[in-house]
Amino acid sequence: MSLEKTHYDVAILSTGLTQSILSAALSKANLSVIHLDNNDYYADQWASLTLSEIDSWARSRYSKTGISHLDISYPSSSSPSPSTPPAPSSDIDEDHSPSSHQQHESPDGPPEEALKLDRHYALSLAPTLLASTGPSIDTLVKSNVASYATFRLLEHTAVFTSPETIERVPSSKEDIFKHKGLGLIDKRKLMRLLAYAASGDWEKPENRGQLEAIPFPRYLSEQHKLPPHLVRAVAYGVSLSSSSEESTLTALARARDHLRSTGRYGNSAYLVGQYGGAGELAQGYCRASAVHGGTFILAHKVKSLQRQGQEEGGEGEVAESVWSIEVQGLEERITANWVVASDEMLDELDDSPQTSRQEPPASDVGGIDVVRGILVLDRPIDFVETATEPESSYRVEAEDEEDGAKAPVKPKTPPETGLLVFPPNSLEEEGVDGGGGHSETIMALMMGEGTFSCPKGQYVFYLQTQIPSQSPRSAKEILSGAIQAILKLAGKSSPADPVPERDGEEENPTSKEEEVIPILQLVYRQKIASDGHTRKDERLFSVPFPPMSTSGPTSKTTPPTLADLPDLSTNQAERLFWQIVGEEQRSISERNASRRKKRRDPSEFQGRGGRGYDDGVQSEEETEEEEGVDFFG
Amino acid sequence: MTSQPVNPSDIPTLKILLIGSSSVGKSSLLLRFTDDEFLSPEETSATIGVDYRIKGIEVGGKRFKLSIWDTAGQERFRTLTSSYYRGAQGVIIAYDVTQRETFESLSTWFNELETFTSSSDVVKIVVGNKVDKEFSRVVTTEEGKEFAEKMGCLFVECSAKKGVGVNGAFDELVNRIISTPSLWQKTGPGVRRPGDRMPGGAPAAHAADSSRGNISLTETSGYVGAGLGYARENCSC
Repeated sequence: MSLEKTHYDVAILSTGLTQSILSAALSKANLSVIHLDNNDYYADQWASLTLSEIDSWARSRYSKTGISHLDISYPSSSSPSPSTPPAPSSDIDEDHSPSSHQQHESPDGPPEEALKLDRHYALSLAPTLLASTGPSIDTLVKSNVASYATFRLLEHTAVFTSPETIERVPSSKEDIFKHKGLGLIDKRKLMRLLAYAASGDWEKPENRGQLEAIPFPRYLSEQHKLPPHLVRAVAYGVSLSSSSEESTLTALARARDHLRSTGRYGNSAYLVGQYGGAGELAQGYCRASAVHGGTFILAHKVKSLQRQGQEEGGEGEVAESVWSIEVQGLEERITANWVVASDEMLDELDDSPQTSRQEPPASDVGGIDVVRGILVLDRPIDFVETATEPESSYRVEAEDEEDGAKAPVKPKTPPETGLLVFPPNSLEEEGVDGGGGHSETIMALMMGEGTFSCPKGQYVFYLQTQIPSQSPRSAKEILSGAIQAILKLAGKSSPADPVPERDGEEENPTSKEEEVIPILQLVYRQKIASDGHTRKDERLFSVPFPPMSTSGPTSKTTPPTLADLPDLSTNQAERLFWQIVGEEQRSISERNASRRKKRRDPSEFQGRGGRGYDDGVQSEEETEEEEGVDFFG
Repeated sequence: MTSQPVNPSDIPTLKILLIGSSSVGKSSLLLRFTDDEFLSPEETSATIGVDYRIKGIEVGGKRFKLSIWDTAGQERFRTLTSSYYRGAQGVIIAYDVTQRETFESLSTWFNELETFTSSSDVVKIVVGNKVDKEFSRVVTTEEGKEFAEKMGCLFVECSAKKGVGVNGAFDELVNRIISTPSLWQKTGPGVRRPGDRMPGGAPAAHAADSSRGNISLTETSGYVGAGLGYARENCSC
């Protein structure tokens, strides 16, 4: 294997989302990019993996730094009861004969039944919700990567209140209007709150200090006099607060973003990417990079990275020294002016630049771990049904009515996507496995077949919460309460697609509360880096996963929520982009952008109470754009 | 043979992929078919800037939209993304009749297809390119034909440079796809077919749109008004 050329402007190690966005942006700006990854799949820590891939991923992670308390199991295949192993509802396409009870173990490996549909799984290592407005979606559209991907709307958001009930979250004007279970006074209070969040008045300096200091739930009940169930709904269902201590300022900012996003693509603030989401987008950006000339090499281990003196870069531009990269299976070394790598890949080099070794894990004291779980079940949680039950809960008019206007729809399609939020301490009474409770919010994102995350009739649940790094609790312990609750809720709904007539052994469909046994259960803790990307050395950047907010008003690190990840990654990529192409380019780009704005066609403004932005009068030089590069111009 | 005006989103989109070793002329085939152009070798050393092309066609009075995807050069180190393969209804596997190794490596491309396409219905055509260089041909027509037969797929030889046989190759492929309605016909709203894999990435309405509610960011949605709340165009509130 040999390369056409060996020197590049930028070498990127790891095809994680941030690196992939950066790669596409740099290639588009005519920098030469070589992009390497140790894995034989794209997207690295953001990848969407098949069942067998995630199995081997998990096995290889026992030994990796940063991941701890990993536990993977396939309960449905090891379940001893021979009577009703909840066989993964089979796929007719694949045509395997009914109820093949072939549980030839490997007790450790994925069940054979599921492996037959291996490629139908796209299990995400970084589950995300994509806000319908914001840097991430803007960049997707600008870069045209949006045309490579499709999405689903997040259909449901609900807050867990007790083992029997989940409450739907009224998160938009429309929801509130239609809400049957809400009293008029509560509706008005909610509307006022949402209007305030959207107004941005709270951002004024005179309000900030006070709002910064007060935790959001307290603010909601004291200032807005919201009853407890609405406090829960707004704090955890709308603002997605990760703890009861989150500052009002942070939470209001999220509520505002939520409201801005709602309505762009439908009655939800969020989109769910198909085929695992972030991993698919990373692939899209990699393709975009390749379209503009980026060179990609996967499945080759990057062995070493060294500074190399004096290399004539040709074309007059003499780089003082360059990075020299040794890649397994490549005869020649690759050289590059800049290197952007993932933390993990830098750590794994046989021979890493000695310049600035990672500062010793002093951060362990105040550090935070993300706790993740992936659960594959053969049925969904019924977001609509369960919410109708007791009087304490309320519900929005049945989903179907919304669609009714457009086209007559089958009475009830199973839910496809949903977010179930477990507020802090909501699981306390559960008391499974020595206290299944958790003092922080646990998010559970459900994705069905329509998201192409799993085979027909199956559902993937992604769980996520956080815990201080020094806590000894295992990932399993932390999530067990939530997992039990999900299994119980799922037990109340029927299997998604009752397989038509399976030779006689039909279950009574009315049998309530079946025991649901997961097809896959994977949990682990993942250490998060303390800060945004770090400059390791001149022209060497290391990108941590997950990306962290650098500008946040809080000093305390809170890991990003599911909904923050894509935007944080995009911002991270843009920051790196400008550092590489030069900050002066950014100013040019900003000036050009404001010129473009002025130049807008006045017809755009017709009917909006004015002739145009500036009456269309402007001099030539004002509109002349300066030469420069752009982050996806 | 009048085709009445149709709603653009009702025109089925067929996703067609090009694969095959480097420099067998995949991009040239694409450009010849869509734009009737041929770029000289100096202009096209290796694929840069070719992403996908859209071309409308009419077969038997019915209109179709082809979205034809090029490899973006990612075939060089076998790093095509799995998303590239998603939802393809047709695949052109190309080789160069003057380069034996490009013919020999066809089977590895078939393996790759096997791995990444989940429907066995996907229509495949083996295309031997550069027949204009007859004097330096090393792979005979018979060999190509035989291989294609063994793999159970269509076969055509052509020259993108001279524009010979290129349209024929695409026509054969498209006709075969169209005569396999399960590949492209829409199913009713809400109806899901077993094992259905959505054509990911086709830039417009998806062909086998079995899943109501897929959202493409590049299409304008029926909803208006970002901001507080949510309103439909005909909203009465």
